[in-house]
Amino acid sequence: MSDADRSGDARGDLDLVQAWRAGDQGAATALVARHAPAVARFVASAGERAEVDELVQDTFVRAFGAIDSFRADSSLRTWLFTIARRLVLDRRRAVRRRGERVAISEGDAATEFDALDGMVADETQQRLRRAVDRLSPKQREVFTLRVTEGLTYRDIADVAGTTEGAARVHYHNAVRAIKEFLDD
Amino acid sequence: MTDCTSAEIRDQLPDLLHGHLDDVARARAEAHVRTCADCGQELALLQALRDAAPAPRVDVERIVAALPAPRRARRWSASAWQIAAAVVFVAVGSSAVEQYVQRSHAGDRTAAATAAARLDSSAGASARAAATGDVELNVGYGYGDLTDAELATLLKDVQDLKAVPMADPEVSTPDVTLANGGL
Repeated sequence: MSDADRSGDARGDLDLVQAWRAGDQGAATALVARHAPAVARFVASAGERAEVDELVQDTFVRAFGAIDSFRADSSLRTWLFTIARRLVLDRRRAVRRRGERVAISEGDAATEFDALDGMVADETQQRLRRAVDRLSPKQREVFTLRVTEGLTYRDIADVAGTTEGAARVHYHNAVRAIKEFLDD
Repeated sequence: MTDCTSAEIRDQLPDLLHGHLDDVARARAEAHVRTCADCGQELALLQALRDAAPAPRVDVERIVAALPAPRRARRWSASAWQIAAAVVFVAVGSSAVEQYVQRSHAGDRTAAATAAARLDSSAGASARAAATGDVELNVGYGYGDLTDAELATLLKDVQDLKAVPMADPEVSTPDVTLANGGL
């Protein structure tokens, strides 16, 4: 299913942005419906599963509030990922300042989300998710953007604040680690 | 599970999965995957991993309700205010220049008379003139034609103006002409 199909609006992102600026509220709905699931997957993959709703909403509020600064050098979705990532990092810093435990680290496989979600996911899916969860945060971020969201290495580098070459290395290391986990 | 030695094709597998390759690259990658068991398995694995990714539910309506209003109207409002302020600022500036020019000319024509009049313009003389209502305040070109209401509106606009002048205004002494020709 394409992005346009998913949002129920065949217009491109830039056309929808222009329409929203002209007062078309339906254009905002189409944009959110089109991109919010991907942003939610990305935020969840970053380990912020309990705060997905809030972080996704904040991402869109920030993005629409600063839409004039979107220059379309990258896709709107890539820009949204960049904003979401910044919010995730801000939240972690805030949690750290408050002295709370940040439940994201390497090998953070078993989470509440997994446990609940596992009730509806079959054993194979759970095993695949565990393989991804065991990746380092950077590997998991790059792998999710590359495989789940289909971003290019260049876009991944923009989102993750790294280089294309480093993103490529993280991706291939992630694939190797997943294969090793599944082969065990 | 082993790795194919074709790094280029392995790099393209996620793009093949998402349909992001152009026709030529896609045909080449698909042909390779059909004959390479390693790449075939890796592509299947990537697809399974993509399908297994958590899919948190999102409340689109709630997000849309939280969005800020488009800036278009707000921006126009700000621009209109700035334009209005600029117009008032220019008008006030012009009147000050005009006043300065008029005063210079008047000084050339009636230097001696003006000097005498200023000498005579003691507090008592000013008070008498004000009491008789014969004082004409010269505040610049065109403002003498304004009604009281228009003048009040203009003064209010100037008072509401939040801009700060670049320098202190020149100290000026209004020219006072007595209708009865002096004391």
